[in-house]
Amino acid sequence: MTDTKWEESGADHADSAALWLCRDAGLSRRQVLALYAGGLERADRLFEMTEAEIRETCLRGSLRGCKDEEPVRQAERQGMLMTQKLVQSMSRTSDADRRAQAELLRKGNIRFASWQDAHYPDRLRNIPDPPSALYYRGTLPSDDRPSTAVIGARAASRYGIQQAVLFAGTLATAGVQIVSGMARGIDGAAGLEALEAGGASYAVLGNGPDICYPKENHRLYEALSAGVRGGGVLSEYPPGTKPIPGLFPLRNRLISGLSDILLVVLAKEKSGTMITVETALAQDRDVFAVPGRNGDLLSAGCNRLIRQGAFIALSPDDLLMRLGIGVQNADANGNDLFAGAAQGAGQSGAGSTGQCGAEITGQSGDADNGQGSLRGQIPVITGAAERALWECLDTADLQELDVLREEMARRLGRAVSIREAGAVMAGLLVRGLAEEPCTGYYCRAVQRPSRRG
Amino acid sequence: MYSVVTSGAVRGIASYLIRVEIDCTEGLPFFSMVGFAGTEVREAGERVRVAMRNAGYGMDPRRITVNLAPANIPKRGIVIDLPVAVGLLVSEGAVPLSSVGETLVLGELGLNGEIRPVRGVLAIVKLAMDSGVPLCILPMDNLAEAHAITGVRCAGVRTLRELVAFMNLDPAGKQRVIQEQKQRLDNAAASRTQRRHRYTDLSAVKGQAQAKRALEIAAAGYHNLYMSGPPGSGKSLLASCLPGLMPSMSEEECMEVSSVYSVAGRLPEDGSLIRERPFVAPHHTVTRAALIGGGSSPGPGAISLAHNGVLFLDEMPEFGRIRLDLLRQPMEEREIRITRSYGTFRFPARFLLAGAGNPCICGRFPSASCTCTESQLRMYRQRISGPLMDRMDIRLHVTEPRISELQGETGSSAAGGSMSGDDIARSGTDDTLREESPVVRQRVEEAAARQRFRYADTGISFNAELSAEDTARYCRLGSRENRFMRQLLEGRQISARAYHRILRVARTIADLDGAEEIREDHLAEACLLRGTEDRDLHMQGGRNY
Repeated sequence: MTDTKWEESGADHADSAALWLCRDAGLSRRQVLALYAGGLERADRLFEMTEAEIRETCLRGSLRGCKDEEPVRQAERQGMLMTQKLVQSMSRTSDADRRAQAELLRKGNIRFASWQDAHYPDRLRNIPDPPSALYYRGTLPSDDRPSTAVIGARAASRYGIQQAVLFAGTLATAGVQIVSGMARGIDGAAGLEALEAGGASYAVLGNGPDICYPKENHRLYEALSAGVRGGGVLSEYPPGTKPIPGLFPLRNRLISGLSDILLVVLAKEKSGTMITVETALAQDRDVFAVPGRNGDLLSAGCNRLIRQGAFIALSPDDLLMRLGIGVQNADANGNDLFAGAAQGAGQSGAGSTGQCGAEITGQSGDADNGQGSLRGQIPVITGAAERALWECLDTADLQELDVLREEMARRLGRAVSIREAGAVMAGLLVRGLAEEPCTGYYCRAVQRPSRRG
Repeated sequence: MYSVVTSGAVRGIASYLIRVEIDCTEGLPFFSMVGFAGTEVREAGERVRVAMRNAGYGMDPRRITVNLAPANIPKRGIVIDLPVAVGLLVSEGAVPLSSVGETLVLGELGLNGEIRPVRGVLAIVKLAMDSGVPLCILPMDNLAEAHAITGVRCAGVRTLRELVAFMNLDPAGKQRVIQEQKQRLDNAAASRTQRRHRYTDLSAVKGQAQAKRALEIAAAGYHNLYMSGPPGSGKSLLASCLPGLMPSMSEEECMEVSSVYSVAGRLPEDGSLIRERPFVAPHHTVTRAALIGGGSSPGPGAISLAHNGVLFLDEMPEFGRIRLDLLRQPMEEREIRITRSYGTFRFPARFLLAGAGNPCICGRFPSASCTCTESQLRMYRQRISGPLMDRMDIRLHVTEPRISELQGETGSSAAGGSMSGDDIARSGTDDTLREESPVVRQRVEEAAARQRFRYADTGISFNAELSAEDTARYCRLGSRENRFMRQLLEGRQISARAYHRILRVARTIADLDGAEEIREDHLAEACLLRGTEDRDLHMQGGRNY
């Protein structure tokens, strides 16, 4: 699927002239864009133009949008400098060199989309400061499908991971492309879940697309590089660019730029995540934020955004509705579609509040069955002891066994030994209902939309 | 004149016999020692000559040649003063040649003629017995040690004069002396109570039900155990309970341990064998050689001194990754090989590794009050390498006991009548919490006996030592148990090695329960005690906010 899309765009290898112009000619990104703005249609035309024509094009591009005298003079200077630079660079390069460079790129399995190409994402054409070119593996986000960027704190809490997974998975299943920075924590969790839910997942990197950073997300990186399910890994930096802190804020504008909606799951008051919110606002994108507890440092940024007017993200439906994707409440057979999502999020009804960790209720009156076998894949909770322990567990908070044992005993109205509590807990762990993120501390397993039916 | 005296020495803990050949002839006075002997060994010549003179056995200047056979074994760091002296005494006529045959002589000489103890006597005397040497003459201070070996007669001497006197006795006279010495030693031993390790009794530790259970299981099956937790949670205290829970050693195990301590010169003064499993707890500033063995004339390190016992590393992350990783190979091979240019030394090193440490620099992870950044957490965790942590069969988190536990019993059955819900909840583990060590040790002994029976003639003593294929053989599961393990493999994505480890711990839990078959609840407990396999907490949001 990825290859046909690639071929459809007619670029089976990078336009060698465009590659040279964007990367090797020595022009800045803005200068390259100015050239295109000044009327340059294709980079290789440059080599057919006279110096006068080149100067004209440069001046035209630099002068666009300049009204007053001073900027005009500056722009003219810019234009002259650009011309000089260009002419110099052009004299140093040959057609054979350029082709060799393009071939190198292809051999390294890196694809290229410059401003002049059809497959350059239209969403990026309209942002204030677009990149002149993109280097990528896999595919680029499609302009025909809705997309949502899911971002958040790197040091994520379980609550944040649960929310990221829920939103990304549900949206991806509904056909929304998910864009993230592939960073540790929220970004990585969202990107991975989107992939596993069978959707298109894209990662925008702050380094060359050939470098996997951070290493923890290498599984996601490998899958996206291969274009699995139509996803991709992209960057405005050429292959070989190492990850350095200065490049990341700039990358953020691409994350919001490629999305229709920006979803902030967790954010501290002052953080890299908030930078992306700034760029989203500058690009006129909708910003949704997942609320959190008062006093939680990680939710402080999100809560403040909501107060300042961002949309509140209480369930994936909120975003789907905003994107205009028909939110059905029942599928063809009349089965409640979102019963699964609602149940997994611990709601008592479909569609409204999506908080996790609440009491489980059987949807069709399976009172003695607790969680029940909803979609066939969720294991069944059997027995009073198991149900008692399950109810004590929380999705977000980690608890020790002894504390859980006491709570269990309270619910059951009888003494529970540590051995019994341990045995029941082991049963839950083994069946994937509970998790032990670090030794001795337990919580409910993160509900993943991808693992449901 | 030519004479031969039998002696012995140790290399590592392996002993070997040395034939000390002494030749005295007329000629220019010269003393030479040959036979692949190191410089320090050749110093014996000086000591012997002076000692003999001071003891009254001055010699005329002669040409003396001493050969240490066999010549192909390098002799480094050994002491052969006494055998050389005996040879010279024979040539002086002070000692009859006939009394030198079939006798092993060991000892170091002081310049005044007194005989000092040497190391490794236990192993050497055992070799003498195996080789059919009927009589050993040793320094008096080594006599108690030597008497642990039955089947060979040992005589102790304090000075050169005593030695000469003894060797001039007729066989009956020698026998009498030997009996007297033995009698004296036996009397002394009987009046002395067996010295025990100091240990903490389990009942002195408040709360910590799961940790106590873990200690019991570790002791019963010889499983490695790691406790992580905040400072002050009682990890060191819990570890100090271990010596009181470990099962007793077999005769063979006692001998092995005593050999190591003999070589290290650390046998107790009364020379008795070591009958309790060692508990060695080096500080984290210990040197590499002190930890695994080595030094210029290689001696056993902490891991060998902990052979058949417990090596407890408190503040394990502070040891440093490099030194901790030194433990991996000995743990795998159950011995440590130290190589020098002149040969390889082997020391046994089969130990239960018990470790304790903080989960992070500030010590509070995963509590919300932990102030460590992600990279700090990662760096600290890397101090104990993945493969080493993987070898810990039991890994648990120990937290500070709660106030209710510290302050003693809550309203238990003594109150009579109805209990409040809280009391019911808390009293769940009252009975096991107050058990004393000897009670638990009894269960451990029974479990150890079952293992001994099961593994008779296989060379294995405990469940933890089973190899992967042995595990499959001795830990068969029923269909329901198999399903549990399959779910475990798929669900938690554990490695095959972790799978086997959990099985072995389950086998120990079943042994403690007196069950022949491993049941699901045994597997469940083993699984829980293993802790989490995935050490990467980032993707899972491991911190409690």
